[in-house]
Amino acid sequence: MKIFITKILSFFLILFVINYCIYLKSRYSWGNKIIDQKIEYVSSLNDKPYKSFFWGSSKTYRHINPIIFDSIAHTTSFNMGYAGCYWFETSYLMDNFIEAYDTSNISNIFLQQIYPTPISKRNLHSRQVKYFMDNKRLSMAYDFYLPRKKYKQLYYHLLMYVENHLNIGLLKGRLISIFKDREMLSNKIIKQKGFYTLEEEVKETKSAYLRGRANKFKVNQKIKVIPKNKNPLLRIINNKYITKIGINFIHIIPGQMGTEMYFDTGHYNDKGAAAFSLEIAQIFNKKNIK
Amino acid sequence: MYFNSVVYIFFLAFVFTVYWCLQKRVKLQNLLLLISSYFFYSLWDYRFLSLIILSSFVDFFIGQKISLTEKKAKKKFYLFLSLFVNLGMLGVFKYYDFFVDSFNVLLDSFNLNINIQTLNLILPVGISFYTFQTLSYTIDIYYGKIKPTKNFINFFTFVSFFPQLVAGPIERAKYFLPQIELPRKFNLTLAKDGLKQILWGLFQKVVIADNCAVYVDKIFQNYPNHNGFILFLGAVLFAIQIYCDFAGYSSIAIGSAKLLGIKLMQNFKMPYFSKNISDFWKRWHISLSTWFRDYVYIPLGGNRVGKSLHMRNIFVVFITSGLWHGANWTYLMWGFIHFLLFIPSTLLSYFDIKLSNSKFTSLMVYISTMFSVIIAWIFFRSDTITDAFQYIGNMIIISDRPFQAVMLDYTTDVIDLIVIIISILVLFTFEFISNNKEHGLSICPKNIFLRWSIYLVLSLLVLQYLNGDNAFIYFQF
Repeated sequence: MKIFITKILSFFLILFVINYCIYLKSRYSWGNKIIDQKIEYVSSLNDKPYKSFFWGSSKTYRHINPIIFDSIAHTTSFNMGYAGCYWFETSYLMDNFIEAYDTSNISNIFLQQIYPTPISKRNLHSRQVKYFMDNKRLSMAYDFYLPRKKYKQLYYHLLMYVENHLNIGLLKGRLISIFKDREMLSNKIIKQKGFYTLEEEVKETKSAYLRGRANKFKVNQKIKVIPKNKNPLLRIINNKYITKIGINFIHIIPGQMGTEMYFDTGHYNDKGAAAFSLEIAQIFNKKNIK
Repeated sequence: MYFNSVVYIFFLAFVFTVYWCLQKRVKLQNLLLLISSYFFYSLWDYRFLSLIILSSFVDFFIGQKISLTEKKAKKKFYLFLSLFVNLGMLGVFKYYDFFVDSFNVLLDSFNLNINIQTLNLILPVGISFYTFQTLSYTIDIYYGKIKPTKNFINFFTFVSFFPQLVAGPIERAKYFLPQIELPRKFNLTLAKDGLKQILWGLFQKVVIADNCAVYVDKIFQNYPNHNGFILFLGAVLFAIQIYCDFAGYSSIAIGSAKLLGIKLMQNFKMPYFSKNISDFWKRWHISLSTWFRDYVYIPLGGNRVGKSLHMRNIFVVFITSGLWHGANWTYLMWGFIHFLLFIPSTLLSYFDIKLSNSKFTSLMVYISTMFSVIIAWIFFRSDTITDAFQYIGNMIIISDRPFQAVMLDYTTDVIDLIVIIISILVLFTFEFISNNKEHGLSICPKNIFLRWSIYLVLSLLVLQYLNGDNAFIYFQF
């Protein structure tokens, strides 16, 4: 029995070391192609021109136009959001980005989400919910779900943590990130400082799926979540997990908008995005956060 | 909990540790096996655990009754009671809706609109496997082949042993019960072989079967739009997928049992290296084919009856085998095709005609066998018989689209495609080299560096493609 246990442990140790080396050598942002490209682009700029960053999911990527925001708020910002980004994913990417970036150049970080999104059974085991599950994210999940007695979510997060550290389903992506350079961010997104509306995407890609979503909304006119507050709000975040000396972390809370401002049930159209960007810039100015 | 999930690895490691800590305490070891098996099953659907317990309970007591009764009529009564309960459960949960639907269609064709209601029941995982296993126990007692066990924990463990509970191998009590009745000592060689077999099984399932499934699903779902070459490729890939899926499952089951010091029967012996169709059935799903041989074919008279009855026996075996797989006409058709494939060799044996032993004849027989098996798989995979016939019909269409353009429709990820091709080559090479041994890693280089490198590469591949969501095909049976 001793021989057997020793052999098994030796084998798993070697396997774990190989895996862990790959884990450490890979780029932290490899799991999200567009954010990976955004990070590469922003980090490659020598003079580090951007002082503010917007992080979040599609509700950041599609809603906040940094050009409009900067024109009112007198800052230089870049939209780092991307569709389908979980809060833990955003938090992980943002933490690593701040760590690698010259923090003296960052003044404000705007966050659209600050609470975790539950992992659905359908997404369980997918790269989308696990490549970012490190110690800090597990601890955040523990702190959030345990008091709420959401044991299933705790189990899912723990499982994804284990799968991430064992590289389950992630090996190929991590190896590619080590040996292959990432693709360049498209000029269109660079010009718009990371922002890209759904209407533009429909025009350019002619995506039948997105068009279907828009058409469905035209018929239903039903907004998925109607915010409680009439106007958008900006709140300074006071959270033990979101902190860095010298940087203001600001939570963006959307306000109510008419259905004419929507592209589909959950996202603004061009007009909605412009109005929203303008409003939050004005609030930012009023709050005088610098 | 699927075998191809990280949770199963932890579960097995836990059971293994506690199990060998209880060495020399057989009763506790068996109790642990029973509890962990019920836990394992309840993670699918705890409600259906009651069916396993009912089936175990019925056969445990019927086994005792048959053994204690001297009168043949009473013995027969108890046997029929066991058959009634087990096949009744199977009938209600698996076949009721199928027969009712078919009957409604039949009535419709005579313009009789009597719509009999279906039950829409969920099929309990593994029901076909454990009912056949418990049935073999009572039938063996009836024929005096074995004596019933008096220990209900041992019997309940035999019915629900987690490595083979949901998809076999369908064990026989005469091999299994003596193993768990006696004290078990940790066997290093057996445990090492078990681990290797688990790794080989995971490689078959996770790396080959699941990757083939991506292409197979695309081709079968969209078969009217494909040309002959792609459709043939789809059928070949499905043949590989179903083999790797089921043989992979069996390997993990047998390997897990070996870690616990228990030997299960071999379920596959390189079936795609079979010389002819009869050889194929000696190598494919051995535990089921021998079950049908011992409990259907031989009791019906086997080949010791007249030619027409012999033909009937073969027909019954293949049709029931098809039906065993699922309540669908496609499975019945699959069984019927295999019956048809058996006819030539049976007729040749009637007239005492032997084919020449030349290499050319053997090659021709091999090619025609494999081709027929692949064609039969199309029925197994298709949703309806019409789909299967159309699929085969479209296989003779030759497209004028360039080969590269056709391939581009399918190559979503070049790396995955390369991995599949190399893995399939590795699979057949290793199986060929290991020549009828239990698994592809039975024979490995003696050089430790080379051997461990093979294990590490396979493990890394398994880690890449491991996904706890891809169920085994045979779980649906």
